[in-house]
Amino acid sequence: MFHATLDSTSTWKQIVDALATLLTEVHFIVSKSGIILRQLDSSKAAMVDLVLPAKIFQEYDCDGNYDICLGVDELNKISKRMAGDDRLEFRLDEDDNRFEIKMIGQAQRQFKLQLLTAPDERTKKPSLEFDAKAEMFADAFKQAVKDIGVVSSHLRIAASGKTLTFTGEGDTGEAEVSMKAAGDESVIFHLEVSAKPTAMYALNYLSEIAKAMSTDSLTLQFSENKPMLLEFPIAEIGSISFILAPRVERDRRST
Amino acid sequence: MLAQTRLEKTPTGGKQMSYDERVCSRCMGHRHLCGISPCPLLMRAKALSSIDSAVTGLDLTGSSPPSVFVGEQGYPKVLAGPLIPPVMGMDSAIMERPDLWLDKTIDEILSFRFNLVRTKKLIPVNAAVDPPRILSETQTLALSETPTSSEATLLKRPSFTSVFSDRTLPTGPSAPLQLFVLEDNPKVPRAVDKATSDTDLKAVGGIMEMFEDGVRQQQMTRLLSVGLLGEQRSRRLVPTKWSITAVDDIVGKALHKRVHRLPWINDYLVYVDHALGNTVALLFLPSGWQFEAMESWLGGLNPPIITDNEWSRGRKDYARSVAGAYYATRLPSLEHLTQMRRQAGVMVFMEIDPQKWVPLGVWRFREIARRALQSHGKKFSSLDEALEEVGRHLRNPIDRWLKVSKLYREFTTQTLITDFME
Repeated sequence: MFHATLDSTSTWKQIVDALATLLTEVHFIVSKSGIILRQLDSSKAAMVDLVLPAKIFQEYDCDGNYDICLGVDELNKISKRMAGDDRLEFRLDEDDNRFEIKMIGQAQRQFKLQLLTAPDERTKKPSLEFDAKAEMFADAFKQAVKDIGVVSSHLRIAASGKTLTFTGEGDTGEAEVSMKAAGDESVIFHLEVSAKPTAMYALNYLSEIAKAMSTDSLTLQFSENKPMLLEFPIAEIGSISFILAPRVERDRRST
Repeated sequence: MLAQTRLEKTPTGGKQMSYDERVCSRCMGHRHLCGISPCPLLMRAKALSSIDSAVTGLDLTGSSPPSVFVGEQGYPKVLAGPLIPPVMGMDSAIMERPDLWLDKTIDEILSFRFNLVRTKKLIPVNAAVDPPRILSETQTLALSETPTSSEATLLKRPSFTSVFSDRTLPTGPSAPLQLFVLEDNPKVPRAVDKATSDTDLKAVGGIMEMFEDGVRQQQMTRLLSVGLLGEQRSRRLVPTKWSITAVDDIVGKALHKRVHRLPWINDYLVYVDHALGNTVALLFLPSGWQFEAMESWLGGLNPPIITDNEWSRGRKDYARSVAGAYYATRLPSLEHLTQMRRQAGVMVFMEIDPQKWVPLGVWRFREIARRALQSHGKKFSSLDEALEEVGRHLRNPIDRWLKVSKLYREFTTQTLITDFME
């Protein structure tokens, strides 16, 4: 049995928008403690990691472990029908193999989505340690991604001391955006750096993620030529993270 | 009864006419860009056609393959009409079956097409909502799977004007149409009847239903083009040129969604085929779906290579550089993956030898790719070996292709999350 209610449609929309950037199918794992999702996108170069503790929901009842697998397009279409002040109710109908979403507002509307077959294996998380960690305004990051995107198809990040630098180069030229973590005006609230890591990431993923960002702040972590982690808070105690594998200069197959 | 047309051989030996492919590919026989008069392509077309002797008056009786042409000039008022050969019987079917043409010579293909009279009448595209008599007969013809006998009254005798286009099949001499009537009842496959009579079904849905039922692509293109698909109010005539790529893209998009859920291939696969002066090589990479079509017109020392590509989620804008050939090779790639129940990245290499070339339409890339993929292909465990094999079939050195390839760069430099898992 799984049943939960959520007062904020904007939280739900934020989640669905974020998932839709990289996935075509979503695989929620629902348990007593809350809902999690961990999936690779179809290129395996990116991972989404969603954590929604039970406390985010106003009511939350779950007596076991369930896999809820849904098509993103279908989920997205339903979410678009939500009105701002609707209250949401979710229920798993095990007999009919359906996921129910109820929108309770001026009218009570109910949608039922057929469950897809869940994959046999659950995705493991890569064990990552980071040399740089920055907490910053989400908009500053979004603008940096757009700036670099003008000339380049990939973005290089470097951190050293109090500075975070984004650079890119393409056939038409180069671009550079740098941010200092100092003073009250800074777009970076907090920056921790050990060593001087630099790494490069594909912009096609980053632009998609940046487009879907709806939080004020984010945490960015990365290491030298290792995956980058972008984390966004959801309703204070929840979070959604994107992990992005780096691009390397020399042929990755020869390493 | 009219005289039967015969396929006449082009004279061999003697001095070959030379074409400047860059000029011809723009002019397509009707802009007189090269300054040579009369146009050598048109002369060749006339030599291959026996329309002049077969059509003496203004009445034309024949079995259409069936075939229909909708022009794009003057959109939204376009010249549309059936293509009719001055012969009766089932033999005309081949004239509209490019999937059976790969083993024919270019002259044979041209003579199929140049023995079809393209009739034309100016019709607004939205006439498809409530078709007038002539369009309605044309639509009924388009429904048929097999040649259907018909009678047309022309306003003028057929003449060669524009015969080539970079995308559509070559078309023969054309003539303005006054009257068109079918003499037979068309033979309509059930899936076609269902998709075209459902006036609440969108065109995309109709095409996919027909695709599932194995309706030939040529017929789906024809139905879309004469305005028999889609919701009643939004039915339109669609220029043949656009409907070809539209069908490639619509079916491709639907297959793309399915392929996305399938497991990756484990090795590198190479498929190659040649026909009609064109080479198509396909390289399947062990990765998520991504696609790149590259094309090179041979000639000169370093012929340019053009490219268009998409990443895993497909593309939203039109593939401007490679254009129709992009969609025509993407579809067979996706069809092949769907059959294998596997996902892969696909790089397509296309080379065109202009000395053997006349503009035949993009179907040749689609059919050569399909035939290549039906062969067993070769399996390799490393990218370098696979590329070496591809290079063996191309005239441009493989390094020149890799230099412009977006997908090659992505594949060799983008790491995977799984590389960082223990």
